Amino acid sequence: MIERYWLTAAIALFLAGLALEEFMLLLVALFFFLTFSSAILWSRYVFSRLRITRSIKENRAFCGDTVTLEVEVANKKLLPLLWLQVDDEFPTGLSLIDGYLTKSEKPKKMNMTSYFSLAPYHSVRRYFRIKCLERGVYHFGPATLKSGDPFGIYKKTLDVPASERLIVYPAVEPLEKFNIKADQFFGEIRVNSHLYQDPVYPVGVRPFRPGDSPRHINWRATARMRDLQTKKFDHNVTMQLSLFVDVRTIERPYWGTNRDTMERVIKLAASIACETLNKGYAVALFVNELISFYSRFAFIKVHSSSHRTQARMILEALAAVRSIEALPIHRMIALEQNKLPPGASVVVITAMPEPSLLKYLGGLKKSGQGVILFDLGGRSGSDTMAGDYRIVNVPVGEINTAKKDERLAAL
Amino acid sequence: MGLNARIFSAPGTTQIIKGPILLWTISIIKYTAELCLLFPWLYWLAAMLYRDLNTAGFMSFPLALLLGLTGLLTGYFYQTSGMSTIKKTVLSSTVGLLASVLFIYLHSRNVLSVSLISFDINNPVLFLLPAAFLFWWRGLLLGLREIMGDDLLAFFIRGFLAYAVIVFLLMYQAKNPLFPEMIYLQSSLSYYITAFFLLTLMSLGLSNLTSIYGSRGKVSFIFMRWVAVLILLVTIIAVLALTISSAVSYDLWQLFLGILGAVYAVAGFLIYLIFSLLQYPVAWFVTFLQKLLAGRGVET
Repeated sequence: MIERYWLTAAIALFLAGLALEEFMLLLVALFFFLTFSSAILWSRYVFSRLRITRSIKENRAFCGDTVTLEVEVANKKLLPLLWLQVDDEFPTGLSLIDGYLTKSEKPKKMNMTSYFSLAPYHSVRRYFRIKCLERGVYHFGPATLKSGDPFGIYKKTLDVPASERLIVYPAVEPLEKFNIKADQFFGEIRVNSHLYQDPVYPVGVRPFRPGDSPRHINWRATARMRDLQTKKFDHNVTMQLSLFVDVRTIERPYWGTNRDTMERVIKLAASIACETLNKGYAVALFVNELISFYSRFAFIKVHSSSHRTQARMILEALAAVRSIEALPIHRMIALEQNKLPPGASVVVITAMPEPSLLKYLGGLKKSGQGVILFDLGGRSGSDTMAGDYRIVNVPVGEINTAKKDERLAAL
Repeated sequence: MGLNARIFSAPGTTQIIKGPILLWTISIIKYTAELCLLFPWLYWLAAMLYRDLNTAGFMSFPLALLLGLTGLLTGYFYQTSGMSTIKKTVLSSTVGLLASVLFIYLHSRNVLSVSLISFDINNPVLFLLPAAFLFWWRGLLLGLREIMGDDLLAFFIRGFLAYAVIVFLLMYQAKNPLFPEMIYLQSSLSYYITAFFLLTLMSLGLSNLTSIYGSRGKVSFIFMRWVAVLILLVTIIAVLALTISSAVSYDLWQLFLGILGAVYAVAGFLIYLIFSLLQYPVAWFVTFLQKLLAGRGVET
């Protein structure tokens, strides 16, 4: 870069040339002045009417999938853009198949540098194939654009904010691979009577019995049958599963995280959720980790549903897990216990089944709640996961309500 | 606007020219620009010492060859791997020195027809030897380091200053009857100036290209577009500089002065007219005041 006072020197020389009527001085001054001013003007307008867009066609993918990032740069002006360097922040956990990555100062980020050269009113679209290596929520950008005049005298930078997001779901395996059956979560006893009915779905009529709500009397059927008839509702047949995922993988949370164990926990949770949802069950997810949501922190939760979008929501939630424990899992269960759907089975997946958790789950079991505890701690490095966990036989116990934490009440 | 290009950014897309070729091109352009800057000073020095431009003229070709050969050879040795730095320096220095001695010997015998061992003060060899050493040294320095954009910019500014100084020198010496040959040098200086700026701008542009794309090992397919725009821009700058300087320096400057003189004359006439017209009311007002004051004086 040349300092601007040289421009003043060139102007002074030009005026001297004019005053002295010296052609040579004018020539020298003009060459210098024109080079300088063209470089200044070029660099000033280099980013005007320039459009850069990033897009990912498939912004949700599974581990191992390949997605395509599309970067389009359009120069909508007469001034050609001889060189444009785009330094895009690229998240680690993804592998760039086409292109070059360099180290970045920011943690968990790499630099994806690409170069463009655009003629007037010219646009270039490039495709970068990306292989999804790890689950997560990835943001592309922000990008820094660098350009300048053709001589490299002045360079200019422009920041482009992050725009694209890619969610990589955790891997999902059939439950057979884990030697688990979906029905296992709901026990083997077929019930003869149902405690809960769905008032939205009347399935017929039956004679009115003492204790029935007068609001449910079907007057038309009563008139026809000449006897009091009440509406018969569908039983609430949807079985509920509440999945609690413990992000603690090491005895003390501040020691860090065992990534391998964490991934196995997430993989099992995702597989159970998908399989049970496929069988028509309602599934809820609770993770003892806080997530930032519109500048506020909240626990990762997906409320119970059997809707077809539920699997996507659960997988997205599991993709966002970073394994930063905010609350011990038994406290999380206690926090959510009253909000759980009636009759819901509680499935806990953890790598650190602590006595307090076992005690709490024992209490739940005694109260009639279905409880299954998966322990994934202590073993690692298996691809199939088969035999890589143990279902803990939760002893039936009492919930010691007297010892409820005051913090829990506050929460 | 449709999409004109749809390419995969995979490594190994169409390559037209490789980096080293471009680097050699930049080096040659840079050396030529260097000669354009050094030659006017060489001529000026020869004219000052011998009152003769032919001496410098005869020397120009071997000196240019010496600078280019030393620089390119040194650059080549330094780019060749598998040799220690000391060996490279000794080798390039030896080759450069031998070349310079050979050139001086051949040139003094064949062209200047003088003996190397003549100690006459007017022997051009006495001038040729330090000049050859200077050019060899300059070539060695240029060859030792890779040409960078910042160096070229500094060279561009040095050239601007050096030309400004020599133009001032020649401007006054050309008018001096003691240095009649300076007029010839002055007349040819514009070619050196134009060539210097054109070549330096080209080398700046190409060096910028290599600094941006060279990091990837190869210069990509945009080379042709880059060079085309660069040539266009440099040509526009040169045409504008030559046109404006030639127009402004003579006819246009006179026209400008003439217009300025006319404007000045018109403005002067208008001011005169305004003051001429203003004198009547002012004179009347002054007379009125005089009468008023005189009247009051009588009454009291």
